[in-house]
Amino acid sequence: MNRHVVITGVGVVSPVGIGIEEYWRGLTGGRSGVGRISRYDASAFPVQIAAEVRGFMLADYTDAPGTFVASDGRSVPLDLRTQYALAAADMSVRDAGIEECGVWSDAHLYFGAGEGGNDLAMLSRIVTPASSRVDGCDVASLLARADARLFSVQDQLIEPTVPASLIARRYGIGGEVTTCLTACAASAQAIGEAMRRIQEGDCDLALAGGAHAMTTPLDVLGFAMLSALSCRNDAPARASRPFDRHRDGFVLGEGAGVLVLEESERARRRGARIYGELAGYGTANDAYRVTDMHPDARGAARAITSALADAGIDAEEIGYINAHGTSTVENDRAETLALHHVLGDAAREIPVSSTKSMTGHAVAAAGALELIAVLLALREQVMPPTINLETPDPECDLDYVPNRARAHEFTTALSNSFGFGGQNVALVVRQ
Amino acid sequence: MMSRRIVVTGMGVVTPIGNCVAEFWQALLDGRSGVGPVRAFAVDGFCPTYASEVKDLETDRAGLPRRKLKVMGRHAQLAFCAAQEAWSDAGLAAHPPVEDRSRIGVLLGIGMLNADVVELGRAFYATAHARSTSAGLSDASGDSFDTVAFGRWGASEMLPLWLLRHIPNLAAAHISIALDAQGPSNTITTGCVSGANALGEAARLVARGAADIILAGGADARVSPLAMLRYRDLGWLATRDDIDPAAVSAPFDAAAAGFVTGEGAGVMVLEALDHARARGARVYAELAGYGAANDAHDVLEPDPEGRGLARAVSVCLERSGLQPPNIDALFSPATAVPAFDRAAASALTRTFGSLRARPATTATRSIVGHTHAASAALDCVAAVKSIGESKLPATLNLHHAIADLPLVTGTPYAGDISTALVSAYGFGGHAAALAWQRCCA
Repeated sequence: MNRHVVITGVGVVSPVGIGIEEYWRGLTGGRSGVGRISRYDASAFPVQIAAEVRGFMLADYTDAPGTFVASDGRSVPLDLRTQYALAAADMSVRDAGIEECGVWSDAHLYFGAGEGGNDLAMLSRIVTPASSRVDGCDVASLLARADARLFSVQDQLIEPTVPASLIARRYGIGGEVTTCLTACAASAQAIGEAMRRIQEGDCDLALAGGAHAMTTPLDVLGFAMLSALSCRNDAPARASRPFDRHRDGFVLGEGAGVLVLEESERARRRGARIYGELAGYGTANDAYRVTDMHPDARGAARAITSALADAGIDAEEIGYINAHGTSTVENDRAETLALHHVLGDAAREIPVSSTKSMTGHAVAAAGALELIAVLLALREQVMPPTINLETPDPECDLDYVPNRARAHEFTTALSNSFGFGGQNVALVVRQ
Repeated sequence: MMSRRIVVTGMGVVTPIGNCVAEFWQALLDGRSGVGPVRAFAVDGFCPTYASEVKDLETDRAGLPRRKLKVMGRHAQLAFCAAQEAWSDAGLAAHPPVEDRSRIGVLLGIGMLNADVVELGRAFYATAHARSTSAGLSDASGDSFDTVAFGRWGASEMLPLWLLRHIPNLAAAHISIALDAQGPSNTITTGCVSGANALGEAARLVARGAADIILAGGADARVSPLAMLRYRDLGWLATRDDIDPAAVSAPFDAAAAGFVTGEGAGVMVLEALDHARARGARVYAELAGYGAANDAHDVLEPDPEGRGLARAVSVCLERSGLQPPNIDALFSPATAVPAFDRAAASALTRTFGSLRARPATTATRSIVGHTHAASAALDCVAAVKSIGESKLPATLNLHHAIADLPLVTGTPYAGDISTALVSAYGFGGHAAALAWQRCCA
């Protein structure tokens, strides 16, 4: 394979900043995006904190409409996930300077997403009148009485395919449009698969990334019931503390990250500004349990190994690692173990940081947000920190760039994304 | 793209017309419809009262422990059973591969997972009831949802692990775990085209050497109250109650008035030909090529000329090195939603050109109902069977065709089928095509 893939545009919506400049200031300033949930009253939930995007107005970033109007005139506001996706896509396309009409007709789009948030008020309005204490919802009575007029369009719009479909329509992307749903690894996998499409000659230009907003009542409650979330409700900014001994779970976040991927010759010909080369991609499955990582992190280690081999580099060449680093007891231990396995003696020399300490965990969007952090770090030669790392954990014994951003000369970096379902993805970028 | 040749060595299905490939295929040839009265929940007072459901699913026969069912969505259970059949059918259960398990992957196409209204109803009831009897809590305004009451009284009505049924990639994870498949795993969605894209993506992985074997296909379970409400209101669901339910699903017919919603799963073992030969596997057929594209038009409606579908089929033919006259059988994506049927007809007639170049065509959704993300994977299973037996199932319920295609009606088409093309098209403008051919090993 001698076709190379470079990144020529990025767009980001995150809890620590919207747009790359603000995002980078947030990350290097060690700013936590986590706070008490503001969009609804979570005071009766076991977990009352999340990393929400603040001050987001779609119209500030794109002229794409924030409301969907069906052909019969019904109009429904787009869910947050889709709005973030549209904003980040527009930012990335502008950033790359590829706004001409028609350029995207042969491009591909590979997006990582999940479903949009259920509108609980609307669902409750149709389900509650048909429900009882013992039997729950009586379906016949629901079907006979429910007025689905507004519900139906809204429900269609929370389909996981919708962000990708709307982006495709906006730019006229007529090539392959795919959405992957591999949970916390989804957007990293989307970026890796889009890279392959360019390498293999299926296209010269692709949009890739992801969007997700699992900060809704059902999502927070669901993950809390799985005991996956930090319960540090009294100190939200200190709740996401990857690799710290007193970590107690992850913090749900939200956002979108979109990248313009381009075949390197095409980018050079048009004189594009290049963030870096997407040089390696590896993936493997734990085949162990649906929620827990394999205790030896076998899938994670294999994904990293294959990404390095794909990039044709040795472990020592890695200058910086952006960890999956969720702040769960298990992930951070297993990820550290995987890095030891794969990198050997070099592991102790290579700085590793988890930007989830600041952004929270944006689930399907996380991989894209983090790869963008890596590209900005590469450009600025500064590594964002792992904040809230106060008490070392003997099982997490690497250099995690604690609490303060650090200047660092490096040319090659690794970004890890692991997830529920035993998904493991690793990406390598270089200058 | 196909640097390694890709073949099918195993197949498994769970469908409204049969819970294994043999039953499914026979029902297709017999034209035995899967549509019937909804069994999963009471529908009195609603129209339609019918759907295309999987009957008598035997999850324990697939080795699925009862305790696991609680944390698996219906689509995941269907996918699991289909994958087990495919795995056994490929001879992999009897002779498990001894090599590195990271050479085996799983790639599923799935659809949206609607909320479970029965469970949610219990939680909503507790929320509303507590609210109406507890002073001091917020009032019952229609526009907001009382998350405080929900957190305090509603949440405890839900199964603690309920979220696991809704995490989309866990269907593939259950399969990976059961089969110890440690290679690449992906879960994708492109609505009703998902199964086709999953098979195409899997072929890419094997072709580039990322795996030797991938279990790939689609699974969906949209016989649910919310799905039926949604589709009926959007005008996509057939609501005729004046005829036999089995006669309702009428793709490409002038009287078509929507699809019959269904559920199912279809999984194939896609394998590198060199690997299949080395282990002495039986080879059903070869994947000659795959193409995919998008209308880039609208979320709810197709491009009137089916631009995405035309492009997907053209790309597929080009990559396969085939011309339209080389295709002996065509599986169309028609669902009986008129706008989509018209767009599909336009795209297919244009792409295949002259009348003589148009292959014998069928629309299996007339028999199976619309299994959404599973539908194209099921068509691929049928396509491979059609090559093996040189028979193409007829389209049911077709009286006045709106498509100028050689649609097979009445009895199955019998004639040499060495190449079959599966086309898929659906909401969101997604489109894909896969060309299957007899493998001259």
